[in-house]
Amino acid sequence: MDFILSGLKEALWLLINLDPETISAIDVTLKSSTLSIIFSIIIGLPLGFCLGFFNFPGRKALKLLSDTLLAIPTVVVGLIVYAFISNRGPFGSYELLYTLPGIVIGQTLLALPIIVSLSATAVEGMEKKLYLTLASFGLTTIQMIQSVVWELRHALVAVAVAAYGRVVAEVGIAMMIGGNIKWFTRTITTAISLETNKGEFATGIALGIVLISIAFLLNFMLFFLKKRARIAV
Amino acid sequence: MKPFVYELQNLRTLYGEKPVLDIHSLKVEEGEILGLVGSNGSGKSTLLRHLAFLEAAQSGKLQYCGLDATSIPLSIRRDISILLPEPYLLKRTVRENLLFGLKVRGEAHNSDQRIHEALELVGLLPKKFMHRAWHELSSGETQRVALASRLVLRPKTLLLDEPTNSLDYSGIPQFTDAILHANREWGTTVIIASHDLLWLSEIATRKIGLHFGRLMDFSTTNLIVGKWREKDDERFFDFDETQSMSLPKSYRIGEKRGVAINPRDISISLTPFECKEDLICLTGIIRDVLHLTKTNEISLKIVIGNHVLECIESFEYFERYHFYPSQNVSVSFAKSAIKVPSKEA
Repeated sequence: MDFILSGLKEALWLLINLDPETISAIDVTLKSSTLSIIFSIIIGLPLGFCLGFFNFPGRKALKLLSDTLLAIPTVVVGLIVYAFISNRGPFGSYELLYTLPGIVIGQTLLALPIIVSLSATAVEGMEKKLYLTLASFGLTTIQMIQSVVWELRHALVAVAVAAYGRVVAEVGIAMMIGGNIKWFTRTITTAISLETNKGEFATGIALGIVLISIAFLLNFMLFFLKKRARIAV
Repeated sequence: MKPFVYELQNLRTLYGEKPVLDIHSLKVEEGEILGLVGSNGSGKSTLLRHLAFLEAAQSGKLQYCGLDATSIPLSIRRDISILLPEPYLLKRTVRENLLFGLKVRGEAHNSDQRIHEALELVGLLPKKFMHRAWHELSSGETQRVALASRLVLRPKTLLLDEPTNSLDYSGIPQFTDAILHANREWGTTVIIASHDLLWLSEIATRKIGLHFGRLMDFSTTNLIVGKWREKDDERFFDFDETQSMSLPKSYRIGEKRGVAINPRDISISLTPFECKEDLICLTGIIRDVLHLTKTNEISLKIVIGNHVLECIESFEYFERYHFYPSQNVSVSFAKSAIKVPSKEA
């Protein structure tokens, strides 16, 4: 028990004193997660909207695929990205392996099915009343898309927050693509894994506290957004 | 004669294999206020959605201002505004809800005056309600804001589906005035589907009945639906254990479709009628007495066994006999007044 308590004490000390190694891992995590979420929203939201809004041949199969990819293990994404960006891979010349951009690519691919599938579900589940009300104003297709996105804004932001939660807590991609290089690609999760293996519980616990705080913050936002979305209905 | 806004011919819509709308012919004149009556599932809402071009019929012709449904440009479609039942407000403030339609049409400049006018028309104080969020409104206020967001567009055609659903009695006159204002000041053609027959009688210049998706050749509230028993060459409908009406077997009565009797074809009296062979004579108790101000007639709801028949009499007749609720009365109508609603208007 003593080592846990002393680890906790030391962790708080590290956080209060802004230990550079700990702060570096937090910095890398926030950078990679935020960038990958931005990219996955830019790519995934229009795809999810089309999947949920328009009727076209193969729509159901695509939805099934994106739903299936929701459960894809992070190590599998890591493996695929590794295969493409390693020296022997087709994009090996870009030297992305063991870099932050490499992690961002992997995490974007991880978040993409979440954004596509959940935003498609949100748009698909849009109330018929909302659709008919908007349609009754005689909107052009562009106006309709803009209005639907705005009306579903709380639900769509909730989707992004959920995806962020998954990315920020993942370890497989960061470990395989980033390589857990101190000061460069070491994220909170890879650092926890390494420090614990080394017996450095204090750093592990300190980073764990930060990760749990981020998770709490995200869930608080989700709770708030879902409440807003419910009021809106 | 005024030009027709809508012209419908052989308009037919099926949900699965079930026909929900089957209109042989219907024309709506510019500037009229048309009331649609009918029970739940009679096709009123479907018809309104077709008229708003939110849904297309499977077959038949639907023309708006001489243009075929398939070739109506968006600019013309925007002349039509529909208020759906249980209206849905956009997740914005009241002002933004009213502004939305104007923005879509590129008419948002100098909009504040129009927004004020529309809110005042539906009886909401602009200062108090302009900046309220959608979730800070009661259901009645939501209904008013929804109507205001249609009125602010000054539509050429206004379609209202059960518009008084969430309103209390004090809110209805204001709503009526707003609709009449649109009709008189802007020449708006109004089509209203409502269960509130009394209100509809007040506001509508013409009423049509829908029954199982079909237009009826009379507007009636007396739809009698139920089982008919056969005996010899006749079919009998039992109001209760002792009272029934009969029709020859040659009438093809659908149990679900029922039969209809025009309230003006029914006579009532405090003394029993001399019942001839071609007459149906019943006795009942008056439940409601209502004054139809527009036509200066009296509507009497009479309970006969498990059924209620509406009878409309002139005001003079009512004054002479002083009918009142709970009174026992004799009711009579000709067998020929019993219509089997299979033919359309």
